[in-house]
Amino acid sequence: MQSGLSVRKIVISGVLGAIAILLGATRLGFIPVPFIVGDATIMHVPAIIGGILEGPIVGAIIGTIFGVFSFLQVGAPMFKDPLISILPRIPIGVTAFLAYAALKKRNEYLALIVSAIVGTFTNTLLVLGMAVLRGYLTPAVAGAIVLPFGSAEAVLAAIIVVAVVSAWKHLESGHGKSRI
Amino acid sequence: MEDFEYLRHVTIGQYLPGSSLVHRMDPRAKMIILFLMAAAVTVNMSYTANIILLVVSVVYVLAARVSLRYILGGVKPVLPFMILLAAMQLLFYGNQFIGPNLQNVVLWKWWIVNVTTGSVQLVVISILRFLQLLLLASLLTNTTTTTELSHGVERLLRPLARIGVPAHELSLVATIALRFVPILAEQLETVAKAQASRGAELAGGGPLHLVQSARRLAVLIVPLFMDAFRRSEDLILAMEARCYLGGKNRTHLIELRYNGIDYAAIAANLVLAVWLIVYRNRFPF
Amino acid sequence: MSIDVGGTGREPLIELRSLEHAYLRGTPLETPALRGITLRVLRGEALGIIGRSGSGKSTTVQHMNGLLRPIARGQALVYGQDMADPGLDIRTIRQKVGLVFQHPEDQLFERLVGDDVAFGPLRMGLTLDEARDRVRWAMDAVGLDLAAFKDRFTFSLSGGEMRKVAIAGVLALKPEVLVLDESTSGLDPRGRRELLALMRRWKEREGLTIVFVSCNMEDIAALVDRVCVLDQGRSVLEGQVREVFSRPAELQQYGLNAPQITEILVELKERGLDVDPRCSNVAEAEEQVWKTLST
Repeated sequence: MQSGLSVRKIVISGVLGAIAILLGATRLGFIPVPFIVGDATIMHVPAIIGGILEGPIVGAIIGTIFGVFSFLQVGAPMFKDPLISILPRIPIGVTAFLAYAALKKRNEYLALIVSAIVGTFTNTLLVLGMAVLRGYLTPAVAGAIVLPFGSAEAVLAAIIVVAVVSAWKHLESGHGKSRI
Repeated sequence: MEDFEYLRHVTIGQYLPGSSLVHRMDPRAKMIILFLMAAAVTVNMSYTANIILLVVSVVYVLAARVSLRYILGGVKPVLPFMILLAAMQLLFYGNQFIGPNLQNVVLWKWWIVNVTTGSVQLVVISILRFLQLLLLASLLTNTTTTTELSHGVERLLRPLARIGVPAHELSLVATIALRFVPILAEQLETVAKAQASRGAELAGGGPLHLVQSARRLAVLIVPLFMDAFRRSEDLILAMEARCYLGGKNRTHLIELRYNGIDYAAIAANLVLAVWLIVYRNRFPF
Repeated sequence: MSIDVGGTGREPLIELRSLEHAYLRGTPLETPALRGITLRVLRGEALGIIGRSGSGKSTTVQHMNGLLRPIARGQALVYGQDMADPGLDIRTIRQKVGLVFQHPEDQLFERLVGDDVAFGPLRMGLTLDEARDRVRWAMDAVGLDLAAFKDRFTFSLSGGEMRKVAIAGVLALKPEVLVLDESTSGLDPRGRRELLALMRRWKEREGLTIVFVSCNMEDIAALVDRVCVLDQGRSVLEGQVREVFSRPAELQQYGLNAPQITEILVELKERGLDVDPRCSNVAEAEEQVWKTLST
């Protein structure tokens, strides 16, 4: 491929990007958290999944789409600053990919869970970090919310990422143990 | 009562057919103007500038004959959150003084509550900014088809191709994303209805029941992703079957050309934006 | 226009009266979907709803379990309850009236088959044991063995199997009325025959009332007693299958064809053969033709 972007990568980036936009527009998965920076969301999850399934470039592209939409969307005013809404979102899919690649030989599920956590905290840390740097939040406030916020989103992300990726990749053939 | 019409909320990405002046402008011109206005919006902290920008945005929307109510309807779901946010900014952010030419006067101080003219300004400006950007961004997508948008983005990015940026491919990603949002929204609606029919509760649940909320979400999200993946595979196959090979040497059936109105509009906005940016600290109010 | 041939004395479980509906009301994209639907679903019957694409079939049946409510003109009564009442107990309605969407396999989300089918019963508050019995019954009703399938991974099944799992998931709620919206679409001929046979079984053995939405005339003719024809959001014909289907000219007006066998009989009759075109069953038609030819 001339440019390193195969048809597959183009399409997956676009479609998962569409999901990110949809999750944002419909506010699906927005869990109200009593902090002023916004609700806990799963809008970053498509970037994580894209990074896991198709690699860091796709993850970065989806992260960018997420960022641009976050910039354009109704929400906390600090997101109207592109350095807060767009820039920190680009590495989400990249770090998720790296975490997944590092761990998948050991245990696929572990790799997915860690990847979801890493991707989520990339988002949280970079966004809050930029917010402090740009003066929207004091370090005290940022420090107070990074853990509860990040953990909430990480739990959501991990559950969704495992459910989706294991379903799509038919990770197992054979049997599990149903509740009934 | 439940609302399954997710499509209702997707107001930013939806093209609304029309024949206004704005509809007929070159998409590149529209995007350049959006960019200029966004820059002006981002750096302007004064009341005057923001009111000017808001009025200009509203005028553009009216010129395009797009319904203001429709665009503002996208705000409804977020309204309670925004009100809460505004209240917090008003009460606690007294020291985040942003006005260029005004004094920060304390209006009411008590414990950690610190209402000042600065915090009032912060709240008002934040709201105005967000309205401006909402109107302008919606305007762009409501008056420009996804094909035009992708052409426009690609032509604008083309100069960057010399340093290796795959302009055509990226604009295709954008096209696909925009095109799929309404499709997936409809699919989401179907899945939501199917699960509701089985007794799934799709709303409610507080912030503390995280795992439960995630499980409830999974009922919608997993089928959504699976459907997206299936459609992706079909699209990939279709593109490969047509020997799609990427952007090199691709030409288009209809090439974009600027006309007089585009130049005039760009020029006018350029002047406005530059004036607002350069003089941003000179506004008295 | 109704050509209902004689009441059957059965109570109407669902009644729609001049029902209207529009999508995306209040937005520039508002589209009217229903302009006046009047029909009844009687206990124990199999009712077919046919119409070309866009005639409002799906919108109509979504009023039957409360996914859509009458917000414009018209009335919808389900088990005697007014669906426009905001204080309605929707859970009971959804348990009594089960709705299977088109491509129901798209709604599967659990990793394991058993968990997905058990989703409904568990949400209803059944214990694990009670749920297991329900799931066993439901999977048996679609022809899947509980023990063999419950621990399988949902997304590793074939398309047809996934569809059965999805339908079992709805059956597991033990509805009294089962609405199937184009459930045979996308199936190969064998899959279709299988599903139609199952539907007949549900009606006859389990006593389910069935509402079957389809564009496929042969499927409808094979399964239902009465049929309602929709056109552009209006109900235009309602009556016994034989009667409605024996009017191919009128059906064509609504973008539909009568079953092929009916059209053949009409043609034969026009050419002088003494056959009764009010017949949509190939075997019956064959008998008729033999009889006529041998006299």
